[in-house]
Parts: sequence; C-alpha cells; structure tokens
Amino acid sequence: MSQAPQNLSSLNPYSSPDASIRAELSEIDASLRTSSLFFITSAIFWLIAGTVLALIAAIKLHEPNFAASSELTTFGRMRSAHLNAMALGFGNNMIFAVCTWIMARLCRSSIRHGGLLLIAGSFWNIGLTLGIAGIIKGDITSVEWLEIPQYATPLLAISYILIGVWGIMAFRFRKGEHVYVSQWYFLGALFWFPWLYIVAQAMIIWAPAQGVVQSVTNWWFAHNVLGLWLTPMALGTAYYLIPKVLGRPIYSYYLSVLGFWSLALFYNWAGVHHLIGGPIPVWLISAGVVASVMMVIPVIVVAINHHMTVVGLHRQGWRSPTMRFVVFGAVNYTLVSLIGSTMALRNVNLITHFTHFTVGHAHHGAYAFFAMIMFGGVYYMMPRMLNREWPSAFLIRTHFWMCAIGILLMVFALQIGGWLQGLQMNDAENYPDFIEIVKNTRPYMIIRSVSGVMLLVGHIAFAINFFWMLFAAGTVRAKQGPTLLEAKKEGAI
Amino acid sequence: MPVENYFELLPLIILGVLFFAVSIAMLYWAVRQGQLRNFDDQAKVIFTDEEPEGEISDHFPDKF
Amino acid sequence: MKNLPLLFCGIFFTLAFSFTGIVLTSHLQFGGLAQTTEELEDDGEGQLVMIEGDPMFPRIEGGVALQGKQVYIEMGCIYCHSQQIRRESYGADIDRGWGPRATVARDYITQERVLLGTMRTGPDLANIGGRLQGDAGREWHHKHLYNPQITSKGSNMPPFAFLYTLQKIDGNPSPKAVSIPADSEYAPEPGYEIVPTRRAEALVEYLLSLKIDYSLPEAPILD
Repeated sequence: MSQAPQNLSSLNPYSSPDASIRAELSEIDASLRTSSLFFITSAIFWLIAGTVLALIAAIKLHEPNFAASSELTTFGRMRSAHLNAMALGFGNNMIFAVCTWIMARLCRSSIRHGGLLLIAGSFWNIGLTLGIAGIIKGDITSVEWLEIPQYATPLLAISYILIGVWGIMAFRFRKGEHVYVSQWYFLGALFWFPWLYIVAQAMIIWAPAQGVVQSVTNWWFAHNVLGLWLTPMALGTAYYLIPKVLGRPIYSYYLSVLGFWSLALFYNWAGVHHLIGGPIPVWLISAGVVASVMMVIPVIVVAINHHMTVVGLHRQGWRSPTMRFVVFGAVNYTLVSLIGSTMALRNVNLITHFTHFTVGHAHHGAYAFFAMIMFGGVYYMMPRMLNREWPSAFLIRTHFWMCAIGILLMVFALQIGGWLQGLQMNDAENYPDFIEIVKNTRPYMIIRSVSGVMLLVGHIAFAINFFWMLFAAGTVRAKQGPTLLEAKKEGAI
Repeated sequence: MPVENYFELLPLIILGVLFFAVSIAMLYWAVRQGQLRNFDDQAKVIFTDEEPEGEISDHFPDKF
Repeated sequence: MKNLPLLFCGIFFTLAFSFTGIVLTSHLQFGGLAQTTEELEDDGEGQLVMIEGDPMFPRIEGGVALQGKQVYIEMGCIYCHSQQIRRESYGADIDRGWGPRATVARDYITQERVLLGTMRTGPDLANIGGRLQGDAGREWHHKHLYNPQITSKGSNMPPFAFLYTLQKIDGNPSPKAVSIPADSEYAPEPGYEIVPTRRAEALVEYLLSLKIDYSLPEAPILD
C-alpha cells in the first residue's frame, strides 16, 4: 500500500503518504471540519424545509381545502417535494457529513482534498434545489423515488461521482491493515447506489421499458435506496458509534461479517414486495417475499451484536446523547425490519398494501432508524470537530424526546389506521362506499399531523443548538489536539 | 391463471448456480488468505490512544 | 475482510444477481409482449393465433386523453390512486365493481409511463372509464375535480379549482359550464359560471379512457 506509483499518489487524499505515520484522531477531525459543517448545515436546512413540506401534506389529508388554491401546493407535489427533500436533502447530506468522517477516522489519516467534498456538496444542494423547484412547478415525473425532473439529475450525478471517488480513494490509500465493518457498509453503499440510480433513470425515464417492466425496475430501485443506501450507511454508523461511545469492542465481529453479506444478498431481492398482488409474474413476487423473510437473518444478527455490546453498560450509555439516538435507531431497525418481513407475507400484505400502514412503515425505517442514528452521529462529531461542548443539554433532551415520541406516535397512528383501512377496503359487504373508509381514517390523519408538529419542534431544537454551538464561543474542552486556527494552517483544505 | 414460460428463467438459474459457485470459491479463498482470522484485533481498530478502549467517550454537556 | 478487490467482487455480484434476476429477467419474460385480439383461435396446425379482423388490445393511448395523462402526472394523482385490479380471491377489488377482471402485464404495454401506483387513499382507477362514461361521466368528473366535496362529502382529495376558470355568464350559460348545484357552498355567485380549462377537459378525457372492458387470452372476462 505504501508503494503506490508516482502518478497515483497525487490522488492520495491524505496529507502524509507515509503509511507508518497515523494521524491523531483530533487531527483527522479538524481536517474534515469545513466539509462536515457544510454538509450538516445543508442537512439541517433541508430537514426544516422537509418537515414544513411534510406538515403541509399531512394537514391536507384531513383538511383538503388547506393551501389548495394554487397548483404549486397541490398534495401530490407537496408530498413528493417532502420525500425528496428528506431523502436527498437531509439524508444524503447527513450521510456525506457523518460517514465521510467515520471513513476518514477508520482510514487513519487526515485528509487533503477536502475541497472536493465542498464542491460535491455545492453541486448536490444546487441540483436538489433545482429538482425540488421543478417538482413544485409541475415537472414531477410521477415515478416514485425518482420524482426529480431530468434537468436536475446531471448536477446530482456529478456531485455523487466526486464523493464516490473521494470515498474510494480514502479507502485505497488508508493507513493500517485492518478494515472495520463500518467501512464495508459504506463502500458497499457507495458502489450500489449509482448502479441502482443509473439503471432506474435509463429504464424508466430515458428509454422507458415496456409496460410493467418499468414498475418492477422502479421498485427494485426504490427499495434498494432504502436497503442498499440508507440502511448500510446507518448500520455502518451504528457499528462505529455504539462500541466507540461505550469503550467496548463490538460483541462478535464474526457476526458482523455474516450480517453484512446476508444483507447484501437478500435485501436487493426484496423490492418486488411493493407489487404483491399486482400485474407481474407470480414467481417474481414469490422471490421478493422469500428475500423479505430471509432478511430476518441479518436483522437478528445486527440486533444480537448491538444488544450484547450494550449489555451491562445501559446506564452509562443513557448518559450519552449519541447513545440515546443511536440505540433508539438500532432498536427500531430491528422492529421495522421484522414488521417489514411480516408485511411481505401474502395474507398480511393483503391488508396492508395500498394503505397508510405502508406510509407508517416507511417513516419507521427512514426516521426512527436512519434519521435518529444520523442525529446521534452529529452529536458525537461536533464537539470533536469544534473543540466545544454542545451549548444546551435541555435542547438535546427536547430534540430526543420530541422526535422519539413523535415518530412512535406517527407510526402507531398510521399503522393502526392503515390496518383498519385495509380490513375495510377488503370488506365490500360491510363497507360498500369507499368514502366511509376515507372518513374513518381521518382521526389517524389528525394524530399524524400532531406528531409532525412534535417532530418540527424537535428539529428546531436541534437546529438552534447546532447554530448556537457553531457561532457562539461556548465551553472549550480541555483536550489535547490542535486548536481551530492551527488545524487550518496544516493544509486541511 | 396464465401458464408462465419458465424457459426464460434459464439464464437466471444458470447465473444463480454460477453465483453460488463463485461465492463458495471466494469464501474458501478468503479463509485461506486469513481474511477471516483475528477478529478481536479487527474489532478494536476503532480505539486509539486519544479515545482508548474501556473509556466512555460521550456525555451530556455540563451546563444547562 | 481487508481486501478491496475481494470486497468489491462480493458487492458487485450481490447486486448483479438481483439486477439480472429482477430487472433483466422481467425484460426477457414480458418485455416483449404485444397487443393481441381478445381470443385466439387454432389455425388448424395446433398453433393459437390472433383472429383476423378482430380489434387488438390493449388500446394505444393518444389524442386528448394522452394530453390529459400529462395533467394526471403533473398533479401527482398516482400518489393517492392506483391503476391495478387485483384478482378475485385476493382483496375485494372486483367485489367493489372496480373492474370485470384482474389486470395483467399486457394491459400496460401501450403506456409510455406506467402509473400502477401503490396507495389507495382514493379508489383504484384502472377501469374508472368503465364506471363513469360519456357526458354523465364528464359532468361528474368536472364537479368532483373542481371540488371533491361537491360529489363526495368528507373526501380528503384536494380540490383542483385552479384547473377551472370563473367567468361572467355572457348571455346564455356556456355548454361547458360545470353544473354545480346552486345551494352548494362551492357554487359561483349568480351571474357567474365555472368553466373547465383545456387541461381539465383533457384530464377528464384521460379518466374516461381508462377502461378494462376487453378480454385478453390470458385474462378473459368471465361472468
């Protein structure tokens, strides 16, 4: 690894090409500071925007005349703008912040080409703004998880390529022999995502495949955005943070290997479960169902690993903000995945398909699992990057409780309401008028809006705390490692 | 219910067998190469002198 | 697992496997479906062939209805409405009168953008043109689209009043005016009428065109 040829070594993102000099963690943290702060700031803006869009969409589902005078704010567009703002704006920016940082730490060297990350981040935000404005304007594609119009995708693609290249270079030129489980997950995700995205764009938008081949491709893509992008990024983060905070290595590294490969194998066949009962061949649906059930293996493996790592240290863990968020996320990973495997069974799917139950499930995974772990990552990173404490423990607690209770309330409301909705939809005898079923969902829609307000409060608490920490002097930690000024001089960017 | 033509699944079945064989081969190679040994060390790479094993490394800020 | 090439191989193969299995195989298996007549006949040599002179299905989309489909896409209708009918024993789609038979892959081959949908906040629309037809259908749709509360009180479908124009009645009322009952809270003031824009008319033509009123050899309509 230290014999890289001359031309390649200029690609080396690390400041010191000598394999034997491993940077101090504080140096690594300092070198990533600018790019991570940029990404987190972007993520928070998208989070607030996405939450507001979500609230608008949520209210429309029980007050349909709300904000309905312009086509710019019609439900279909608000909902899709919300989804993309959250997934691509909040989700991806958090991933770029947290996972590049963990990657750099595990690769053991402070980085040199941080500017690359900043350029990538700018392209991402510009592309996404263009895309979401396009959705609102009416250029929405009406292809689920691919709503962004074509003219915005090149910017997103360029950005992604830059980050992907950075990630691969970081790994390629790493110091030290051992590779940690988080790195496999991150590399896997970095590789899988562009493939998924390019195939989906090509076969649905640019040169549309015939008929329902589009739908099959669509759900192979969309489910894998969850399973092969968001999930590995969040799992990799949890695998790093849980043992790190507790000071105790992961319970069984062997199980991690098993977990990673079984996830890689099974998850990407599961996507067809979105089409159960639909106009596609039965064998394909069956394959999706089997894969969805087999997902129990990696899920239980991860659960055992995390649980056994935490056992005995619960109380100490509770004293860490990061642990609260990450453990909440990890536990919900187990729950949402087991519920998901159950939902794939045909007789369960008969009831849940097409209902709010699925919407609840999606938020359970994307928020209670993914988002909460990412929040945990930020709470761990920031003091180390800025050499300051978080200014307010109260705001951290507000963030945690509002969001934990808010999301659980949302999931309960949507899944209870959705289950009833499904039962009623299948009962043409007792519920012959569809409008009755719609009216019966209304109380659950209202509870969902209430939970949305709670989430907004939590997000605002997070945003206030973050910007306060960023701009105000706060407490300086008594710690060894470079100060802010010195870190800049060492050629961090 | 329409009768499906399973003949078209043949490429997939062949690929599946191939995949399975390659996976076994890769697993065998990985074990031979020593990739799957020394798990304890690999699990401890996250710890350093600055943030050593055995120390809780996160807590709530002390102020309000 | 320290080896980048090994890791890469594994990561590549796992996705290649599902890509081939799901995407490519679908393409192979039913990407080449073609239109067909409702029934096939034996050509005398043991082969089933299309019946000469019979109309072919599914119908090709076109005309004003296709323009209306664009409006459907722009408004995001797919996020509340599905366009797929499930089979008799699996759900109550047929019991609800949503269609005479389940939809199959071939029903979608002439659609450039397939809008299967995965939510039923509102009813399935695969055969809405079979349930609401002709001028009576147009009248219902325009009232419903202008403000769903007019025809379906308690609905949570958004109003699409922005697809309509409020105009002063010039002499005689326009034949296209949306016939909202005078006592409705959404009725225009006296002397005014609501008239659909071209987009609203196209959208309604699209909805009228959504019909599963034909058989396919693999999916006959049984009574």
